[in-house]
Amino acid sequence: MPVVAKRSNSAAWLALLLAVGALAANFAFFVNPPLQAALPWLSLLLAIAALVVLVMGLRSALLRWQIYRGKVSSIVLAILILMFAGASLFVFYHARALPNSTAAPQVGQQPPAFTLADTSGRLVSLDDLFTSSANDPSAPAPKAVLLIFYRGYW
Amino acid sequence: MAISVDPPAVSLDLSKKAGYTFTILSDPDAAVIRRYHLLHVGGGPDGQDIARPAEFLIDRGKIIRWTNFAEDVRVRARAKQMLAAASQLR
Repeated sequence: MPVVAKRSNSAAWLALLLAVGALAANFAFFVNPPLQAALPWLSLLLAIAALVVLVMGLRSALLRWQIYRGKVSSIVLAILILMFAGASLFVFYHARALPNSTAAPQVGQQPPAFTLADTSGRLVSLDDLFTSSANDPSAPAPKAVLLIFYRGYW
Repeated sequence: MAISVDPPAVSLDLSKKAGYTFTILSDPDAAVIRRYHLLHVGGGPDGQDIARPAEFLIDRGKIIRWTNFAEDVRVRARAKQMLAAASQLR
């Protein structure tokens, strides 16, 4: 019986590439829209594609091992791919697990008043922000105030 | 200007490191965050209650003219979008 060289299992490697891409898309968030808004979906798509291609690769390596090489390597790759794709899916879910904003003030409404301490402990109200510039009291009153709620610095 | 649950010392550290010159206010009890219905229960790194990301552009007549509520913490309003909204105001 002639010795036939087995085919390489390229699907498992392609799946690894897709999984790495899915993970990488999570670290590229300092780009501008519309690309920024597309990145979470790109990450999700790549992670799902990685898992689909991985299943194909595993079928070749484990069920059709007479034809394909890479029985052991495909299992090692599978573990890596499951970790990367899993992390991407986890981040996708958690980054979007935000409470809805339907009860928040909307365009056309008045913003609720507040008075809070600034970085030096001085109390500042929303009205104060309209009467003078934060850094230059001699500057004219601002025509608008941008109010940003953020998660915190950590 | 910006609001978070961080104490003033943390916000001071942030504005120094980032070179921010705008006002940063502290709402450690999340009272104002609650008043704006923006509380993210257990959203902090140690499970503390924090603000969900949100931006409001308020005009001199104290009317909200533009808002942005992030659906993904990684996708925020960019300075360009906010400046465009501000330029629409008289």
